[in-house]
Amino acid sequence: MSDSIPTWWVDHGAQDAPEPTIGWVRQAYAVAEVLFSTAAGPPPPGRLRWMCSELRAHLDTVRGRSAWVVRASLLLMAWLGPLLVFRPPTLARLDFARRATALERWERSPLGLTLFAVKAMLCIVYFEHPEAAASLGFDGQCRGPDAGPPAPGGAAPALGAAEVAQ
Amino acid sequence: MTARLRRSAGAIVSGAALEGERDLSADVIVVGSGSGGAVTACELANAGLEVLVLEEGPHVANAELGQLRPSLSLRRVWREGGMTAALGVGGSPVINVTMGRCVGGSSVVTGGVCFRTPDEVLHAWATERGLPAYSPESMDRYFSEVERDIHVEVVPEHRWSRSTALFAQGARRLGADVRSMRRNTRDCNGCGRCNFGCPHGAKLSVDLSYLPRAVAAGANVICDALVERVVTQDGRAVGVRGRFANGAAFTARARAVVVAAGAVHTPLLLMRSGIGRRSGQLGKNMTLHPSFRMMARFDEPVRGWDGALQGAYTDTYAHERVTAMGLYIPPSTIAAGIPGIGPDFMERAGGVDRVAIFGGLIHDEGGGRVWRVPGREPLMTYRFSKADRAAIPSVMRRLGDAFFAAGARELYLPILGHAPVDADTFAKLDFDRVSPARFECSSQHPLGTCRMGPDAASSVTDEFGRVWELPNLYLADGSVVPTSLGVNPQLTILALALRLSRGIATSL
Repeated sequence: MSDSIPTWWVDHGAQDAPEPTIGWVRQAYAVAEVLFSTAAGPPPPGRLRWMCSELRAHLDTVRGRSAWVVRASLLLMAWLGPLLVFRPPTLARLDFARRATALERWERSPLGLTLFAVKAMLCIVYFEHPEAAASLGFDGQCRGPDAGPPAPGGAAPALGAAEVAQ
Repeated sequence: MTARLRRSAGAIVSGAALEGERDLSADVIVVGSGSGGAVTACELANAGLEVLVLEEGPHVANAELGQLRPSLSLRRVWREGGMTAALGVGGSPVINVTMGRCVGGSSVVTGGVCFRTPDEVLHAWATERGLPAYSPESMDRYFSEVERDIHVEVVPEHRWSRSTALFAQGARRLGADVRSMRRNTRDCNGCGRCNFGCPHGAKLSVDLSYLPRAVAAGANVICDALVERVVTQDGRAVGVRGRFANGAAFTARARAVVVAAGAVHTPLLLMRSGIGRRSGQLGKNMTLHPSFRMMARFDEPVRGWDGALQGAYTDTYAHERVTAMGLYIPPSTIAAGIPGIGPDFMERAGGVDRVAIFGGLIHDEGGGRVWRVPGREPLMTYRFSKADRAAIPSVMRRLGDAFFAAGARELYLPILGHAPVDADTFAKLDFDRVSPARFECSSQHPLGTCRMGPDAASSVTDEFGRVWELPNLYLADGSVVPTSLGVNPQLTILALALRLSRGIATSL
C-alpha cells in the first residue's frame, strides 16, 4: 500500500539510522516509543531511529527560538515527567508502562502545551515514514484535473496524470 | 564592488552565491517578496523604475516544491519551520502564527483563499479611521485588477473534499448559508497540499504571478538576502544594509525604500532602524484572526486530502464575530491533534481517513504586539479582549453542532488533553468554564502592526503607506491594515499594495 503514497508525502528512501546519543534526542526516542505504540507493542526501533535522525535534522535546519523550545520541552518532560509517577530521574529510564502513565498525566496537566508541541513535531516526522503513513489509512491519492464530483464515502477516483508522473 | 542593476537584466538570483561585500543600487529597493512586495515590484518596474527586491528566504521552484514532503517544506519555505508562536498574556492561549519565508512569502503556503475586504470594514476605514480613499467604491477597481491578475475563481463543488462537503451538509442543516470559497487557482488538481507549496503551479501565488511580471519588466530579485537595517541620512531613507545567507554583508542604495516584510518583520525592521516610533503605535494593534480547528470522526471514509484544501465557508455567524469553514491539514498533523498516548492514540490515529476538519476564525480586536528582543526573530504577544474570549465558545458550539448535524461519531476538541466527546457529552459542555489558555489556537493572518491613518499621532504611515518621519520610506504589506478584517487577508494585501505602489510610482 505504501507504494501508492506519492513521493511528496513520505520518505520512500527511509533508512535505518544510528542509535541516538544526544540527550534531547534520546528523550524524543523515549517519548515516541510510547506515543506510537500499539496493542502489538512499540514501533520497530529502526523506524524510531530514522524519526530521531529526521527530527534532529529538522531542528538543526530551523534553528532559532522555536527549535530551542522543542528541545527544552523535551528536556522538561524528561526531568519533570517522572515526578508524575514518583519515579525519578528521567523519562527515558522509566519502564514502558510508567512512561506512558507519566505522559498521559503530563498531557492533562497545565504543562500539556509542551507535550502538544513535541507531539506535533514527532507526528509530522514519524508519519512520513512510508509504513507509518500507511498505518494511518492514508493513500495520498487525489482527484486529478479531470475528475468529477467526489463519491460520498466512496473510493477515490483514479489518479490524475500529474500524480502518476510524480 | 559596486554594481548598478540593469533594467534589461531582470532575474532572480541567490545571495548565497554572491561572494564578497556588495554595494548595490537601484531606483527603489523593495524589502520582501510576498504579496505586498511582489505587487509593488511589478508596478514600479512597469513604471520604468529600476527595482531591486531583497528577500530573506530562498527561491524554491514548483518542481522542487512538488518533491518536498511536509517536514521538508516546513524546513525550506516556512518561517521557523512553522513553529513561530505568539505568547498569550492575561490568560490567553499561545497562538501558533505561521508565515512563509521564501520568494513569494506567505502566498506560497496559503490555501489560496481570496476574500475582498468586507464593505463594512472598508466603510469603517473611510469614515471612522480617516481614510476616505479606502471606501468600498474607491477600492473596487484595485480588487478587480488583482483578481484578474491572479486568476481568482470559485471552487466548484466537485472540487470540494469530502471534509468540506460534510461541513456544508452540517452547517446547512443548521440553517447556515454556506458558499464556495474563491481562490487564486487555475487547473487545481485538488491534492490538498496548498500549505506546503503547490506542486503543480496551480495556485497562482505571487512567485508565479506578479514576480515573473516584475522580472520581465526589469526588476531584480536577490533571495537569501536578509535586510537588517534601513539606512537614513538627513531625514531620508537612502538604502538598506544586511547580509546574504553566506554571511557576506551588502549595502543597497536607492531613491526610495519600500518595506514589505509582513506584519511581524516590517515593524521589527523599523525598530532596528530606529524609525517609526513617534506615534507610539509601532508593533502594536496586531490582529491575528485567532483560529481554532476542530476534528471529528465519521463512520464513512472521508479521505479529506482528496479535494481542495479550503472549499467552503459561512459568514452566517458574523454577528458572533466568527467565520466558519471546511478545511484540511495533512494526516500527520491531524494525528498530532488527536488526544492520548499509545494504543488508544494510535487506534484513533489509524482512522484519519475517516476524520473531517472544520475551522473557525475570530474577527478579533487587535490585542497583539511585536517586540524587538535579542536574536533574529521578534517576540510576539497576544491578549484576547473580552469580546474575543466570548467568541471562543461560539466557535466551539457552531463547529461541533455542524459536525453532529453531518453525522459525526466523536469530536476531537482543540482543548489540550481533552478526551474525545460524543454528541451527548458535547451538548453538556460549558466552554465558558474552560480557560482560554487551554485552547489550541493558530493564526495565519498577522496584520496591522504599522497601521496607516490620518495623522502621525495615531498611525505609523499616512494613507499612501509613507512612514510619517521619512518622505521616501514606504510600507506596502499587511502591517498597514488599520483594523481586523474578519476574513483571509491575501486579496486585501494585494489590493492595498497595488494602490500604494501606484502612489509611489507617481511620487517618484
